[in-house]
Amino acid sequence: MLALRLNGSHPIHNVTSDARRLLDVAFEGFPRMAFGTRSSHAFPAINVWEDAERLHIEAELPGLRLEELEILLAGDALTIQGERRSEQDEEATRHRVERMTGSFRRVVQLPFEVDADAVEATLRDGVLQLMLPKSARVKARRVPVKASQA
Amino acid sequence: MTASSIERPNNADVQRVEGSPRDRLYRPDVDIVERRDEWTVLVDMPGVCADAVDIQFEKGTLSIDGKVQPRHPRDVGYLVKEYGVGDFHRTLAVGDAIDSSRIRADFSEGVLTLHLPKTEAVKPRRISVEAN
Repeated sequence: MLALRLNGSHPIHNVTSDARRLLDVAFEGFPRMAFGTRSSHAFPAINVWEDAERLHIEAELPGLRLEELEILLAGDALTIQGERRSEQDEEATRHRVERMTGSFRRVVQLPFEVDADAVEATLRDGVLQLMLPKSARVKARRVPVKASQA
Repeated sequence: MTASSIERPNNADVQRVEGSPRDRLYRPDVDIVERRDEWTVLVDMPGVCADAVDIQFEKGTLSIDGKVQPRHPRDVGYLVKEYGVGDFHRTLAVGDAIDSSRIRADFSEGVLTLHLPKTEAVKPRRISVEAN
């Protein structure tokens, strides 16, 4: 089996306007959050997992800085959007282009309610990691079951 | 150097190593751009830090390796899994028109930029035409 990751054929999702933005939630030191569409060939590719306390969303965004990304949360829709610029050089000839450039937008439907005020984002070496704490309501829904001792 | 000499993909780029998915090698996306004086190669290697990049140039072949620190808990149950996490490896056939002593590399935000200067012999020259 080949261990190929997404190759250079991602369609580029153009952000046509900001009209679809429903909500801008401004966080202290954290990018804003909004709404959009979802595609089956979306960029960036994501991995999502959860632990008892949090939902983890990770995306590979090499070459981007946190301030070039917009991360928006509206209800259960998390949007990651931004633009990866290509070098504009008239003198250059591109012989191979596999790296995605241009505007992108990815919307992830969250499986449960999160505490929007406590979301943390880090971007390190081109890897975005979002940690979204489960809301108190979601956590309360889990009923601990203890094995009874006979 | 012709374009095809640098961009020819190598079938050995992706190797399946015995073991867990974490032992797989992944083929990074690359852009290859030619300028008057150099070839520029951009390589996406997210999750690699600068000191974990290894570049070898030997016999016209550029070999690029990036080690990735595992960053997910082991045996994690993914709700969505669209990519694997593991080390990167790619080789590019470069040919002999590169001045290998002057190759430079920068690495930032998970992107490796390699500058491969052309040898003097292959740089384009402007031929001046003298009017009689």
